[in-house]
Amino acid sequence: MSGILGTLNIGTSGIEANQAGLSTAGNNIANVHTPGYTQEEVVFDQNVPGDGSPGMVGNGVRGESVRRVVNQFLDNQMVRQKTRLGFYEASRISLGEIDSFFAHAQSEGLAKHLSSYMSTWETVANHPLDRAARASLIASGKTMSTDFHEMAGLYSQARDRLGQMVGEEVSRVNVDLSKIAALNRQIIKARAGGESPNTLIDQRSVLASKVSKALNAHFFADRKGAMTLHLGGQISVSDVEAGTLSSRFDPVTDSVRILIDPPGHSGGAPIDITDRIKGGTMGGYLNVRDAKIKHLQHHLDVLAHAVINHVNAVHASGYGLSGRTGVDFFHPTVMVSGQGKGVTVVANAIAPNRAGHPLSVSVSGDRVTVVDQKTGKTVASSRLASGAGTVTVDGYSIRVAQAGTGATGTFRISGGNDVAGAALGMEVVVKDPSDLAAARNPVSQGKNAGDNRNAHDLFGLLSDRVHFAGTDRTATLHDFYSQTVAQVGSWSREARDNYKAQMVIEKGLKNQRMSVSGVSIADESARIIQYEKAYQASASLVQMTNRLLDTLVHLPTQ
Amino acid sequence: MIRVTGLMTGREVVDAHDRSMENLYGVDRQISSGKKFETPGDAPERMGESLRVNRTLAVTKQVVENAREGVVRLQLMESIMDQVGGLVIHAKAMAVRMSNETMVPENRRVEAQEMLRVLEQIVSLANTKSGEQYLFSGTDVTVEPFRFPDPAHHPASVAYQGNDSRSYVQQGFTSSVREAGLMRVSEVGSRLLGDSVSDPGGNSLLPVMRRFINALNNNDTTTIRNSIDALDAASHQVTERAAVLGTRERSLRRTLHRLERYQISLKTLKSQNEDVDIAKAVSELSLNQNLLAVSTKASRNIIQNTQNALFS
Repeated sequence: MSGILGTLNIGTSGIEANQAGLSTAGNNIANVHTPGYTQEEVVFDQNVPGDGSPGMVGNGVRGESVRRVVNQFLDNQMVRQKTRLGFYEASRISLGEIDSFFAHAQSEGLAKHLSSYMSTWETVANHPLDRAARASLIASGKTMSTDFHEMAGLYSQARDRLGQMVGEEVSRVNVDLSKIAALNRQIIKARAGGESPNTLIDQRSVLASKVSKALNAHFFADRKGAMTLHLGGQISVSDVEAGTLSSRFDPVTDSVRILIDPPGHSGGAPIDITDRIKGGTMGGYLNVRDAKIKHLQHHLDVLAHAVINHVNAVHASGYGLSGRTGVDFFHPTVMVSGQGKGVTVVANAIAPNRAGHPLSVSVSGDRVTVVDQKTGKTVASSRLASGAGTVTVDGYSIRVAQAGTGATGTFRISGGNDVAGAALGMEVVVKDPSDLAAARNPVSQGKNAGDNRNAHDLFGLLSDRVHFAGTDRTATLHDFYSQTVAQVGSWSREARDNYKAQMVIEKGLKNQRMSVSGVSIADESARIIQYEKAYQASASLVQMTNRLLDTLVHLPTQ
Repeated sequence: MIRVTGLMTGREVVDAHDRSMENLYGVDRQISSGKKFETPGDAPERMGESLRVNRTLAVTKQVVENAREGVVRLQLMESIMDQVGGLVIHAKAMAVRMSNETMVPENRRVEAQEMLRVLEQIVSLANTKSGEQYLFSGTDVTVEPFRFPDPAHHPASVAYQGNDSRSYVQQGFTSSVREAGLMRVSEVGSRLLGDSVSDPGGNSLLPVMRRFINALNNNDTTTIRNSIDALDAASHQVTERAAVLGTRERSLRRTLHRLERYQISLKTLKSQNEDVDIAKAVSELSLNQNLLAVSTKASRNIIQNTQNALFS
């Protein structure tokens, strides 16, 4: 349209377009602190010019669309970064809790009580007749056992809590998946209507970041604008449908499993994706729960197994003031079954790696025969001197003690390398202080009560390099415990350092994204001034055109 | 040129403030606890080092206690042997006097009673207890080492009732040669003083005393004269045993001093590894406090300036 009315329309289009600009800039400023908000700008375009004289005259302006100012590469990087950040954040928090269990570990807790227990054997060695020293030794053994129980309990509670946190994460992710599917539906609908659903896309990006922080996720956008989301290699959001995650405890593997029921997977069993979850808070919690703490639990059981078996082996070979021999100090981990008359047999695993298969012990008079039940071969044979003797064979220390003449019996020994539950099951079974075996040679009423060689041997365990289950290398009990402390310290430090590093990376990415997509109040203020001026100018054009029209309307007719 | 938004500036300000607070908190925690670390994660290497030092300290502390215990017992045993030695010299002087031809049988019978009292004193000394344990009965520590059997059958005789074993204190530690760290702290009485019932003709003190007393009663001047040399030899034997016990006691005392010095070195090492250098920490604290104050003021100014520029 040309002519005076065309000029009026040009002014009007300018007012409308700049008003859109003002609204967009105002909206940007209003959302300056809104998380996930992406700066928007109006895309202006010229209206198609009309034909006329003296030629094609412009037809004003129109706001074609409002677009998000975004760098897709940076946005994708941000989302991926969330997975790593989530992993180390979860690791830092959960390992920090484990780390705090070992606060002042150098002078408190298990290390202190292990030394204290072993040293009390020396007090008994120095005063073998002192019942108070003996009672104190039993109390010291109980204190150390309590430490093992507490550590085992703390690990178990930490794993329970992490299991709950994984469950809560799963619930949160399910809510987010549903919201993403709902937003997909709205975005497809808006796009089909020619709209630019920028706000909806921003909201969906925020949700995608949240899911990505929870676990490693892959996102794809299709032509319709829908986001497809894969979790653990399985589709979890497709167009307008969302799958469902679930978690369950698997007693066989003693681990929490994450399952997904993908959209459109009706009737099929949920798919286990646990092994594919390598990142995010969920990945972090699972890693700490089912790899790291599980390792620590096993390590604690191995240590408890070593303490129980090595102390028992030396203790059982000695004699108490009561004259008894073959008495375990701690509840044994090795199973001894069978029946005998006038004979007792106790067994402890002093080289657990070799104590994997069961043995059969036959006692007839003073003759002891040990047979490997796997091969059927006799592996040891000996005679008892002074009514008792110790046979060391296939990783076991077997103490046989006669209670009288005509001793006979057959016993089965098994479970030498079974460490499960050793820490929680550690218990002092010696009740009578006079049964504490400080003597190496037989003790009877008034005889050999001052023999303290066995007590010295027990104290010696503090410095001896002994065998542990699952490794052929020997170490002292303290060194083995120190490995746990060092491991926890290094994991915790690593998680803290990695978290800090990831925070720095994220900050850098955030800054880069904000420099592109963030709202700058200064920029927006400048734009507002620009749009205001353009609006005023367009309004002036309309006023001027109005005056021209008035002039035309009031021209005298001739 | 990077485009800087207000949010970027704000976040940077908050981050800087958080960093300063974190540093301040770290130093504050160290000063209040007096330790460089609390958990293994704070300093895994230091924690490992402290665990090693503490284990060695625990073993050393126990060995020091053992050595003290041993020193007390060996001192007591040495003192007993010294007193026995004094009584033997008294008996020898008596033997010299009684061997004199001017003495009449009545004099010798009277002195025999005196020597029986000396023998009783020797037995009483040898039956001394340390706490609940007899010192000279081997490992039969609940049994009196020496007793007088029926005088009608065994006049002036003393029988040993203990065994031939010994008890020990752990005074050092090498796990491979554990025996090397053991020090004997009980003695087999029969090896020190003999047994005049099972070995009446022996050269140890008790058989010699038996023969001497019986010779006095029987006015056997030949045996009395022989007893002078025998008592002299027995006296040497007792002195020698006392000297051996003294040597052992001094050796244990040297070990004790060495271990006490070692304990001090270990504690110094532990302190260097664990304890905070307070002067250094306090100067770090004031540095961090200043940094925080400057950072807070700068942040306030930056934010105010930005707002003033935009809205004034």
